[in-house]
Amino acid sequence: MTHILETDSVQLQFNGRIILSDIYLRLETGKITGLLGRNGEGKTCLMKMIHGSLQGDKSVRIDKRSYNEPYKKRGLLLYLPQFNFIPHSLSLKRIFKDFELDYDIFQKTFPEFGVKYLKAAGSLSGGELRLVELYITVKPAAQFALLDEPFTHLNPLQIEKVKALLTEEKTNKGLLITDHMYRHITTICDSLYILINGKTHLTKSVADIERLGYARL
Amino acid sequence: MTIHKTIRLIFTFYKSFLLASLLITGACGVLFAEYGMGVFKVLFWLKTITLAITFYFINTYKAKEYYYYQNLGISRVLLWSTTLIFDFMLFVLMVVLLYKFK
Repeated sequence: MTHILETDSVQLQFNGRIILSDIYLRLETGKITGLLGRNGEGKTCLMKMIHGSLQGDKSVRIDKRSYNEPYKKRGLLLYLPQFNFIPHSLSLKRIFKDFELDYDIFQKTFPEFGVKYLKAAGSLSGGELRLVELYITVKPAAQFALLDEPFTHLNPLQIEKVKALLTEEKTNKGLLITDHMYRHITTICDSLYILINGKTHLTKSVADIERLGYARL
Repeated sequence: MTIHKTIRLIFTFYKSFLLASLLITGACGVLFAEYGMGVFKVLFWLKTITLAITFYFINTYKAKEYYYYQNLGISRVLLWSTTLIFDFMLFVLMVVLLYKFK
């Protein structure tokens, strides 16, 4: 069954400056949706509003049912923030137990974690920690996952593996990804929005990225 | 999610300020045992204010960790309401026991 997440009627302003005002975003299970935008355009705020951790005027609907804080309903959506969020004292064993994930499967994809099962998150390198965070956001059974800068801190080999993982996981869920390494996004996404001046634009071709002033191709 | 798992996660969060909180509660216990009911009002406010300070510091320096719990379906409100109520109940229980068995 296909699940659809739609968000619109979003209004967000800080100190009188309008951040988000004319938003429409549609995610669908089986698809990867990209979201690009310059710094400060409100990509992270938009993700947090969809997630429910940032309050504001909005309409977030999943399968036409409205949610104010979708994260509270288990199995609906997960969010990868752009910073590290795992408590540093927790071991990988405990983290995988919390998210009900099989460490052996993870280890097969990322063999470098073979000897780190009992290590604390705080002892991992920045790239390793990011990889674990990404995995526990993408892999659990949930309809949608919102990924804010998933490729940051990862090396090129890890990025390729992550792209393969995301492509594999999109069969189970809808993914929303934002990252300034936009070429990685354009190679795996099925639809792409650009956020500019508080408004989302659904692109029709890669050339729109330049036309809308996000990057020079 | 099972209740067992929810409690485990809440306890993990509680551990981030458990030691400091137990030290304050213990100190309050020692003072109550020494000076009796006369200092209860002071101890009550000491405990309340230190809990408020704890809330401020955890909320400031560990705010990023909320996303770990939120991805497991546990809200900030649930984390704080359960841990603060439990912690304060420990304080009250200690005072009641000391008063009864003094």
